Amino acid sequence: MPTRHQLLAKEQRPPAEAKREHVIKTSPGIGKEKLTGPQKIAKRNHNFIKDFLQVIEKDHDQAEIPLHATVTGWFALSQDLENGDFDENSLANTSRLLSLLSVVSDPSTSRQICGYTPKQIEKFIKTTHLDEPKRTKGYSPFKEKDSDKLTKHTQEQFKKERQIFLASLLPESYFAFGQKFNLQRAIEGKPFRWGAWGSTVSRAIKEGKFEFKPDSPQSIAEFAVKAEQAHVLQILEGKAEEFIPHLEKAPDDLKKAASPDNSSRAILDIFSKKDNFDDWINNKKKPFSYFNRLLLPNSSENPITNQDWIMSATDNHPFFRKKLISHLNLGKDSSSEQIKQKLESNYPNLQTALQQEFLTMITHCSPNMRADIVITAIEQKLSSIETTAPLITLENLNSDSLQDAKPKHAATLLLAGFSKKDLRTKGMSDEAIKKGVKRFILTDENKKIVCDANGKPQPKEIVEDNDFKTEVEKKEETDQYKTQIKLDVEKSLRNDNEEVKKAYFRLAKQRHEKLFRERFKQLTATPQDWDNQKAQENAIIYADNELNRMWDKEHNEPDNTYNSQYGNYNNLLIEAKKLALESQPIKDKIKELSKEKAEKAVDKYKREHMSQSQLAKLNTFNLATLVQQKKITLTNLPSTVKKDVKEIVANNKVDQVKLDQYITTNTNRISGLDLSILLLMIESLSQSLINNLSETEQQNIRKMVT
Amino acid sequence: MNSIPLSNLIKITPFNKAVKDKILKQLPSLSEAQKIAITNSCWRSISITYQAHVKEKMDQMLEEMTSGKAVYEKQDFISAENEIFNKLLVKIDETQSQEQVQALKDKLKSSQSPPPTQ
Repeated sequence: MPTRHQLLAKEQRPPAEAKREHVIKTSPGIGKEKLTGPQKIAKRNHNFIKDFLQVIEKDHDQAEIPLHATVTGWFALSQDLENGDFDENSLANTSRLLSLLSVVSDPSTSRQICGYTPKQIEKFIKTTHLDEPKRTKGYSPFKEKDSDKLTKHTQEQFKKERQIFLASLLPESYFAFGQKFNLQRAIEGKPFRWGAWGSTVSRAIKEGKFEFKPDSPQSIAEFAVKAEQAHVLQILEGKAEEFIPHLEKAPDDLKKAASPDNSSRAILDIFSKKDNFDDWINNKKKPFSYFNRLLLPNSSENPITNQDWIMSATDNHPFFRKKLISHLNLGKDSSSEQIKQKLESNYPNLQTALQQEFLTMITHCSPNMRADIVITAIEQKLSSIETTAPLITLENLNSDSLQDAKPKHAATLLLAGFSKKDLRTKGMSDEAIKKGVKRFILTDENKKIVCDANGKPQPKEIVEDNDFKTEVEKKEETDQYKTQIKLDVEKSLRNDNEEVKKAYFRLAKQRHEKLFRERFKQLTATPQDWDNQKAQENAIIYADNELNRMWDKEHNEPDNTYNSQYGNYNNLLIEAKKLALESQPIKDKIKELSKEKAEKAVDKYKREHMSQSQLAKLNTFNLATLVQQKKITLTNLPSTVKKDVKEIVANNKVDQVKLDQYITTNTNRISGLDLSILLLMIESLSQSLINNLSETEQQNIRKMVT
Repeated sequence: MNSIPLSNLIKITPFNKAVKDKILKQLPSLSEAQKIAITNSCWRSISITYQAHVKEKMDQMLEEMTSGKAVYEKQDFISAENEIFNKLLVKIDETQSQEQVQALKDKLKSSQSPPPTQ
């Protein structure tokens, strides 16, 4: 007697596939190895679909299994896709997987499913043409057409499973054990748990007591609150899994510091997640990220001072002691008194300690170096203009600090304008200086400025180590060094520390403005000489930089709070943009760049920065334009506009006349939109602007920018 | 930064009344670890609810702008968010200090609180 699944599989098999399979089986001379194209794909894929559905059908009553099965199925499906074993005949049977893909393929998130990035998933969707309306029509999981193929029970089951799966994709913090944990268990083929309250929620969904709508913020919030509520009840009833078990092992003062009525977030962070605790123990995280937090000022009502707190933790907790000693460059056997003295010496003002830490980090300087020296060194490093005299004098250098300095510190000081003799005088070792000189040469050969004891710039001596590397090698190492600094800065930004951000943006702003003013000066100084070769080169460099900087700027400003600091800078950018658009060399360059650079930039921008709400700001017509130009895909769009965009694209309504109408009639309407969006639009359309638009249309574009 | 006492925090958390009463009743006997876990749950619940309200309002305003029904300035978006926040403040005991109010606002926007999934 056939099983239920066999009946279902037979019921679901599309007639075309069945017919093809019949031909394959019965036609003489058609063996397995001779199957090609759709025949081969359909046959091989059939087995996968069958197995996949079998798992679902067999275990659908167990709350834990659907996700496991889905993940397994997802893996298998992905594998088949990579092997090319997938065709549109399979879509009907895997329709519910496709509905999941529309969620997990959101490019605005870095979320990965089983190690697959959104980009890979997007590629998969493109490979299977799922983003083309005519191919996906009828395959949507819960539309009427599918009801012919699925039993009512199966439809309901799929619908609930889908909700549970989508719920499981919510941020990790909603889950007692975490999505990552569960997926890892699933990948290993082991049973996994959601945690007690997770099961409660999944049961509520299965029993129809709660409906999860992933597209609605309110539904997500409702879901999260219910889940948290269930979790709290579990805690009260003592049924929750052992949470923060390591906290119980901590010394009493740390428990006290971590109590809800205390503001010591550092301890709470370290102890509230086991991963954090383990990373701390295993030295996977750099100590400064935690020490930054440790050094945050407490409230006046908190009787524990920062130093008392740190010393208490140091005396009672070996981890803190070890990290603090390492951080302060002390010996392993240092006493508490020595630690305290060093701490007071290094951080006379704990309020500014964060900035010191950050600046120290990005320049690879010793933490013993004075903050003003470090700041000056950084400013000089960030600036490509070498006309200003170093502000550091020999007297500023702390001899004690330099005695154990490393080559990278020597390089930084050389960069800041000190000579080898200066460093040697201050007690730096010959070896550190020699290696530092090499590093300095590699880092920035052009900054050949030294200063005397009064800080006056002097011609730099020609260092003898200058020729030991080729130009290519020097450039490679310089790039690596710069990349490392950038990575360090980005890493520090991810620490989400306001003080660190402010310190960085202040420096970045100075740097950007200085660089930009120089470039701008070069351009505006010769407006009548556009035919001049040098001016053209400058203009091209400028245009290239502008395209790069536009995206870099977006990337480096995660917090809109800081946009106001860039008011003047943005105005200058706009002015320069206008100027550039009017010049023939720039037109030519943009035309050339727009083919690849603008496309990459747009792709990068929408992938990394364009959220659903930002996309929602764009007019439907513009979205259709971007879709048609393959700058974005339909799957990226908010559901509210997807249908309209599809229709416009399908009817090929995007043409120059429409574009002209849009620009003319919508100038006022879009005036409140984000500048970056406007620039994005202009970049994406730049080629057509240059090639096809009339002067009036170009005027309209410029009007939009201003 | 001062913290809002857990008892007050529970009162403004969007849990149902029975759950709130149960937590408050057992509060004196809870361990520090339990308090931390419940505090985190409360903040996540408050924050996700607040952010959902904000997102819904922002989406609505952006939709109106996109369709040409209305023109909003940046200040309008800030005011809308403040209005939602003020509604939340009504729930807080009037005896809460300004510092505690600021603490609440910081908490709501902190990275500890995940934003609504897109």
